[in-house]
Amino acid sequence: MKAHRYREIIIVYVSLILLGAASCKDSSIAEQEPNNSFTSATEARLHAKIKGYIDKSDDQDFYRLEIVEPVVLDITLSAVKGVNHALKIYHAMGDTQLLIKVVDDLRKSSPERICNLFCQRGIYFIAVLHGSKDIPRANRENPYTLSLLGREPGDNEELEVNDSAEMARPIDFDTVYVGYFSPSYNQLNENRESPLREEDWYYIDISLDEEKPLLIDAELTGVPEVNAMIYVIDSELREISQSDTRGVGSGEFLKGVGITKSGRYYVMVTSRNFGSNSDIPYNLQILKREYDYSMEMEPNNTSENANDIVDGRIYGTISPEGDVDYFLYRISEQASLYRIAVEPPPELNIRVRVYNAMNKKLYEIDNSKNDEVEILPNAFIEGDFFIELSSDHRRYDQEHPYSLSVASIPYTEDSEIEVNDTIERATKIKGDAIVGYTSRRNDVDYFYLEYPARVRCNFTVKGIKNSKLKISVTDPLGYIIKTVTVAGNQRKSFTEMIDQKGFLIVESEAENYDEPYIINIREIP
Amino acid sequence: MIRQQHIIVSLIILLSLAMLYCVTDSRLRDETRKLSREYNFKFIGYDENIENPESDRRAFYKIYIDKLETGRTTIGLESQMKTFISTISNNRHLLVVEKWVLDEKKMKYVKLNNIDQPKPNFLYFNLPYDSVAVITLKNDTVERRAFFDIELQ
Repeated sequence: MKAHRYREIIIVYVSLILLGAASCKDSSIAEQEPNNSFTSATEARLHAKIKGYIDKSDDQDFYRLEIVEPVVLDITLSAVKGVNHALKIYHAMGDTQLLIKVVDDLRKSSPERICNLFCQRGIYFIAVLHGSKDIPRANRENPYTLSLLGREPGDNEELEVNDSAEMARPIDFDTVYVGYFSPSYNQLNENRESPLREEDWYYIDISLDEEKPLLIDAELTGVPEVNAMIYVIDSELREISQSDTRGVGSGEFLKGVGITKSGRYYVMVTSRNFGSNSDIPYNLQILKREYDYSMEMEPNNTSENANDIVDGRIYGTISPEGDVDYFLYRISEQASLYRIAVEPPPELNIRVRVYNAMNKKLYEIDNSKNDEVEILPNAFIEGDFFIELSSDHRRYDQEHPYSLSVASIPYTEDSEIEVNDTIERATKIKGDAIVGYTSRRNDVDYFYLEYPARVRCNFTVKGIKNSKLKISVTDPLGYIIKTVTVAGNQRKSFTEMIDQKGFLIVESEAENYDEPYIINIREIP
Repeated sequence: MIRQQHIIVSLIILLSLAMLYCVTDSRLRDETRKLSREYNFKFIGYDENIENPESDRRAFYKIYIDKLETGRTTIGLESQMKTFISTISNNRHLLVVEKWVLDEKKMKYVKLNNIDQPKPNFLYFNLPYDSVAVITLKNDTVERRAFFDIELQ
């Protein structure tokens, strides 16, 4: 009874195994030489494992694969010792075969793989042959195994081949797309700037509502062993923005890319140094935001595409690595004084440069440390001007924005006119007072005094809180006669003779860029 | 008769000349007074016996009257006359001078060390009413000796 029962169990078990084996799609096929051409190609099928040999130095083994419904192929060619082999994949279009992909990692004794080849219904040919780098060498002892796995395409999948703008796949906003950095090289990429680079192209058609600009953000997740890069490109294939900020294994992020006209835009994903990973996919998502004039619009990396500062304040981000942002301030007056302030994001030190309309650098400010507001308190500027913002050490912060503000301040005959840090550029004193600022660390301000005769003058200095100023009076040649130090917002008076001409020199030893110092000058009879 | 007329004309001319002289003289005197009112104290300081131009530095004297800093002289070479004028009260005064020279490396004037200051560097003097005191300091760099000279005008 017991033995009978065991027999039943064994029969059921064996039956199950046989059923499983029968239902399994994997099956082995042997290469059938000669199969060196399309017409003599060995018939292959999905989920097949094909054994073959590269038995001649010019051997090419062709396999014919009929696809009956759309599928994503994962094709693997096992390594053959001492041989650099490759795969060529063709799509039969009537009587012609269109080469759609070459998979060749340019290495000996290593496998080849493309994990995401999208195939429509039709006939495909896969050729196994020598790779392009090494001297072709036969190997009759070690066979290769060509594995042809297939899976249903996902709704939001890359659909390789998408190696150029012409082959780009359509995508939508706010949807996560899945793609692979696979294979490592694209032998068909003959672009001079990036030959052999495997690229995944996507496109998105954007229709602007009443041609109001919008901002897009592009998020690309990281993949192990791959240094990812992402580009946004316009319909004329001009790069709008790109990010290659992070290293291997990390994602990339493009924030605030400005779209100013309706049309087709491309997003291109690729890797640095031919990094690939056929096992772990990347996720790509494109988001859109409404644009208002208080926000930076990338690209604004040069004065030609600078963003206008409309309401005196604008927010932006220093991202990706090495990002430089340009802003344009248009003015109606001929010349005026401006207070320019940048509140940086945490952990970022922002450098400010100011250029006139002729792109001549007027000011450069890098006074503050991380987290501290960068202030140019009294920039004297004639006409429109550009402000350039960048960070030191190419640091970036895609999450936290900076705030840039520009305000016009009253200009009187008492106002200091920067840059006045040498005798030659001294501000001439026209009235009986000076209103000046320390505009950078260890700032030096020169003022020129001139009287019809030798006079004795009383100088009253009102300092600035949390600052330390050294005020000196010189002879007509600029040699210092007397120096007083004013700490904090104390008021200090001193008297000195002026031999018709002389200079006042204000040197800062501790700075407060926010408030002015004031020096009143009175002639003593 | 004609002779009498000549005498009268001559007298008139002489009288006119006399009056013109008086007016001019009073204007000149007024001018002098006015100048005197602009200052009644003048200091002149310079060095003697400087033979090497390289040691003839740009310099000035700080002037202390009655221990208060009153001003400084003009700037000139040590061998040049450097002056300071002021209006002070008619009284007995203490004048102290302090010599400063240009340190070209430091781009500023520095006070000479006490050992190199003029000796003596002070003078007591009286300033009578309606007078101008002109005090001249000659500093002999070889003898390391200073001489004050006072002139009342």
